[in-house]
Amino acid sequence: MKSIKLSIVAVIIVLTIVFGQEVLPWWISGLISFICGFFIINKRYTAFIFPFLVSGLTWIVLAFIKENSAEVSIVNMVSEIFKNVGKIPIFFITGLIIALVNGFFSLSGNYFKRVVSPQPASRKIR
Amino acid sequence: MKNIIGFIFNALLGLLFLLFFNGNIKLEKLPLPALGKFLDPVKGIWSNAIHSYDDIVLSSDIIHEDSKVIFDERYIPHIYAQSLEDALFLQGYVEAKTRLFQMDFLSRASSSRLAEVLGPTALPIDIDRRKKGTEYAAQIAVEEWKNYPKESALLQRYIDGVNEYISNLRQKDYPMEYKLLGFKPEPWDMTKGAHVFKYMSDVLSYGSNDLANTNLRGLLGEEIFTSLYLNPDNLTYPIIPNDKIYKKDSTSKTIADTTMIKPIANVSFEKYIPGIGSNNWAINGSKSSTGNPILCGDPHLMLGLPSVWIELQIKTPDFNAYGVSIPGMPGIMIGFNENMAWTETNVGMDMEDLYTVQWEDASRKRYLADGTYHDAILNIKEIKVKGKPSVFDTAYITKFGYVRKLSNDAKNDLASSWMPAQKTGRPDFTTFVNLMQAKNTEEFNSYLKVFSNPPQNFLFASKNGDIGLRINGDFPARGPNDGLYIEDGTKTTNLWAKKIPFEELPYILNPTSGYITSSNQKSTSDNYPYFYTMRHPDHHRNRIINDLLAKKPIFTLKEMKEMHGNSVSYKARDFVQAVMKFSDDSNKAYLNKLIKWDYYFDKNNEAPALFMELFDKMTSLTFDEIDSLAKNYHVRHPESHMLIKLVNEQPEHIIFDLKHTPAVETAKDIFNLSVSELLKDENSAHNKKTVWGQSRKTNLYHILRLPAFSELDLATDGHPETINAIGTAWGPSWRMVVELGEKIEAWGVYPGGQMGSPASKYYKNFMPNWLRNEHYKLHFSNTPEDIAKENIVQTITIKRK
Repeated sequence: MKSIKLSIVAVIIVLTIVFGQEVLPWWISGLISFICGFFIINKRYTAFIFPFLVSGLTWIVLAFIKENSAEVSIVNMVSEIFKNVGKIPIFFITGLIIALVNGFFSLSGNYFKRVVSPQPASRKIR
Repeated sequence: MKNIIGFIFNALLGLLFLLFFNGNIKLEKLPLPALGKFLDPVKGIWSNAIHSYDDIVLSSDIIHEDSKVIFDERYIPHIYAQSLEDALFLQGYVEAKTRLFQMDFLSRASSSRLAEVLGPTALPIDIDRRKKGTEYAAQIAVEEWKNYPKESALLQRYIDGVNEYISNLRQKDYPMEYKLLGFKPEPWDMTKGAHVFKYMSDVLSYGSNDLANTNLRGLLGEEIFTSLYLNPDNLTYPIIPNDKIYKKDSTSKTIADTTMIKPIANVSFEKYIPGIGSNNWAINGSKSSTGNPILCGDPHLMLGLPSVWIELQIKTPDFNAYGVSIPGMPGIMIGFNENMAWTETNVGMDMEDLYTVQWEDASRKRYLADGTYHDAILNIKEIKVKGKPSVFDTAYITKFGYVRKLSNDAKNDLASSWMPAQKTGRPDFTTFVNLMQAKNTEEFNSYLKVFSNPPQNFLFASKNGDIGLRINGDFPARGPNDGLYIEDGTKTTNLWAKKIPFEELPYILNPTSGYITSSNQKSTSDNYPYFYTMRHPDHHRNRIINDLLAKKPIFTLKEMKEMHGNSVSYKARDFVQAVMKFSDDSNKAYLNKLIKWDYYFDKNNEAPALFMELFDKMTSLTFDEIDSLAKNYHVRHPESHMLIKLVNEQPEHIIFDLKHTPAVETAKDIFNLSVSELLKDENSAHNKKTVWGQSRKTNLYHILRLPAFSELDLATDGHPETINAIGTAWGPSWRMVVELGEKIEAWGVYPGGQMGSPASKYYKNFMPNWLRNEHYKLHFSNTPEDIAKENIVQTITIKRK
């Protein structure tokens, strides 16, 4: 059940990034992560780390796909703009941007769920 | 409670990251783009990696009939339209598609709007630009263009094309510079076009020696100043040969300017970049191996990325033209059609005169002219600064022109009368739209009547065998010495009285020599009735080109192309021949290397580096008096050939005397001292055995000067004073060769590439050919079908809605 829920979250985030970001702002998946953290994800740790990883990896993979089909390397140019930090750090930073936003919004959504519908003290939060 | 805190804490943290990565929160000491938007893999910079060359079908209600654009293997657009109006619409469209950011940037640079997108670092550039008044000049031009509805409608078609592209542009497709700087393209308009127009006028005709001349005349004395700066140059070949007879308009101003303004200390003024210039030459059928006229264009402009030029073909039922245009301006500036070929070099005549301004007080509100005070026009501009409050700059305009504020107390202001800021009385922007349609020499000349500025040497060749050159534009009709010095700005009689009439502008058609050349040298011999001052007279390139063309009876096409890459220096030859007489044991080691040299600026040769360091050293030791004046005054060195002339003709001239020694030095002493200092200098090219390609690098900076988007540290042949005039940041910007036979054939190459996007394979793909002086064969097609399918990269079809 847990893996199904997480799979649903992953699909929602990936679809939001791939399709939603075409017309909506880059941070739209953060809003979706908040909703996922509220409705779908139960565990606090998971609420942060899962959207963090899924969205970060999605951005990195998308950037990597585009870099691979580039006529002139984008990552080299961006690295040079940022004082030659290197290719890998550029991909890492790309992923980290959305990962941080989504991770914290998802976690805040999860906390918000506990504010509006407190869990019974005896029940272990999963 | 714990959950409420957890919610608030994490929500705030998420929001903080969002706002920071969205660019809403900025760190003063860490200027970063909005990283979220910038690195967004869907709409950010990564999406600029994707280039679709799929064929596109568009529809527009602006065009009259269906049209087509074919991009060839170098991504050159070939526009096939059914009318001039539709063709200009498509020119606007393709120029926006390939060079939108460049157009936008040029317009912003010209109108002090860089700080708005670049932030406070660009504010000094914007304020400096205000001093020049290019935006004011553009305003005057637009007001005037609107008086010509038929011609303005053509310009509007071009603008419509640009806006058609912009209005359909998705955020993910914005050029990457917009994403980096975080702003959006604005709709194009006539004013923006005028800004680009005046930007080029500024590059080619702004600047004045008046202040430097006034200071030098006052500080050195009339005699020394005249001998160093006004010494007649007998070696240059004037563009129009010496035997030409001129008539003179009796109403023109001929009164000599006798104002003696005193030197003005502690004011700065922009200096010329030495070596700016261009070449063009044409031979008629009698000198060509095929019997067809051949025209060669070789404009030298700033080397940068994207290239200053964009290449294109425009075909309608009425004309078929090919060449290059400045992005943002309609028409073809240098190119050819089915009947004619044309190219320009800059005339370089003095287009800016400076006048003293006598203000009533430091408020700069009223100025004295003809005995009474007049109100100055105040032009206030809000200069927006990204992330900071706006800055308001006031410009003052008098009858004498746009005021250059050179001192805080308003006592040393100078008013600048700049020809491109004067009303022209004609829609000058249409010149290059009309030239595309010229069928013969008569039509070509009639179209040139409309042109105003920046003045150009228009060289042309026609299929019927004509070759000709018209020195063209608006020139002040000057009396003797007019324009050399700052003039008294309290008398309106010192203003330009009129322009040289078109009919009296120097012109040559089919000379008996069989060739015409121009390289920014003096236009005419001294029998031309109007006084003539030059900004940067060429002394060397014109002599090389003339000598090359004179020494052989017949030239092949291959030889014409090779001339573009000729890197022989007359300056080096003249200098070495002049100083050879000083050879002795102390300088033999150095001089012998130069004597054995073939004077070719080869990147792999040590001799050009030795020559340049010796020439520069001797220049600075010779003109030490002038350099010492430069601490307090705006001054300039004499033209570079003057040192050679002095060594040859006046080796004991007082200028060779070093100020700081009791002895009286001569040219020989200065030469020996120069060599001795270079032999002692462990960093000299001589001691380090530096070759020219190491000693001098060529840099093609991106328009934002970002190294990531630039092509830097190139080892190159040539020198600004050789035909192959590659310099550090200026050089050959469009090498074009056109043979006007029954079928027109043409070749060309420019540094860079067609696309403005650094992420495109077409951004700098011409560089290897440009560096090797290898021209591309140009596809001058009649129909889309003339371009072989394997050479077609993309087709855009535009259908009428």
